[in-house]
Amino acid sequence: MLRHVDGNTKTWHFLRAVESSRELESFLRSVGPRAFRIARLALRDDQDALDALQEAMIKLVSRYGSRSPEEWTPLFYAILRNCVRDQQRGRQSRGSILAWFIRLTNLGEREPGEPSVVDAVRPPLQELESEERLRKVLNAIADLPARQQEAFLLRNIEELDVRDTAIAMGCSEGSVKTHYSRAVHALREKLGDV
Amino acid sequence: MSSGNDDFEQRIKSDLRKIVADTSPELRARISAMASAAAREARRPASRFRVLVPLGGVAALAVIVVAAQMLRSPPGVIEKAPPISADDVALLLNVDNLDLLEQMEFYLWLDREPGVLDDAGVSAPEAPRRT
Repeated sequence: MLRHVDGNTKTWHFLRAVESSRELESFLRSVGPRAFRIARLALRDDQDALDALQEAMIKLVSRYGSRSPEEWTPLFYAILRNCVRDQQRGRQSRGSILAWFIRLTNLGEREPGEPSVVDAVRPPLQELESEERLRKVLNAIADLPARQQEAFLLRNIEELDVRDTAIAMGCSEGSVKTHYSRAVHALREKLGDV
Repeated sequence: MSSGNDDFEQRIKSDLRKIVADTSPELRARISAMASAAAREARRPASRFRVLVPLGGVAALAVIVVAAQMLRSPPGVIEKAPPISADDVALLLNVDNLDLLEQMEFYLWLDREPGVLDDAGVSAPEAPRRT
């Protein structure tokens, strides 16, 4: 931590801003890939997930950059949640026009057994068996209701505790426990012993 | 929570870690670039523009309101104020002195009837002094 030793307040503030921005950058770089996965599962589209992530990063820096670093993670995920919602709403309005067009042209009819959108995720591992299992896990998580999915991913990808998950989700700790437990139950039923 | 559930959760957690670790280098590079761009915002000193924009908005709104008011009433036409009643004065001044209030009522009546003073041949009385 820098100290105000030379009495030059402007210099001190400048150096403090530089230090703070470095801390923020390092935080955002480390949280970015995990946050991207969470947004990607909710939005099922790389570009939409990147857009939501970028917006959340900018909002965290501009609004909460001066907060202590311990507060950044739950705040960042609370912002990301809202950005994901905004993307979903935007897509809904775009989608209604697109759906009308698809219905009109019969372009959207999916064959049975055709892979879902989540299947388009880049194959994560070389081994086919493991790859197949990971795809199943991703599909099962993607099919969870939104709140259960949020609770499960924040607890398991970001490894937030119940308190921070509650802050990020904007609900009580009791609700987090309920959503989480339901998510585990649903995944267990769907995946069995993966 | 049972150990069966714990094992299950651990397996899923480990799968999720693999998925995150497997993020492509291109995607990681894009995320890092986004992080750097966002962090640069923190280094930038608070711009005067950020303060001036809302102030400019308020000033523009004030100008529009004043202009609208001026356009509504043609120049030179001043709306006549409604007559003041003693009750209004009492409310405004919160006067407890009833004598003073009665005198006020009398002078207000006198003011509305200028012919009375001329007929009586007296000059206008001085306004009562408040104590």
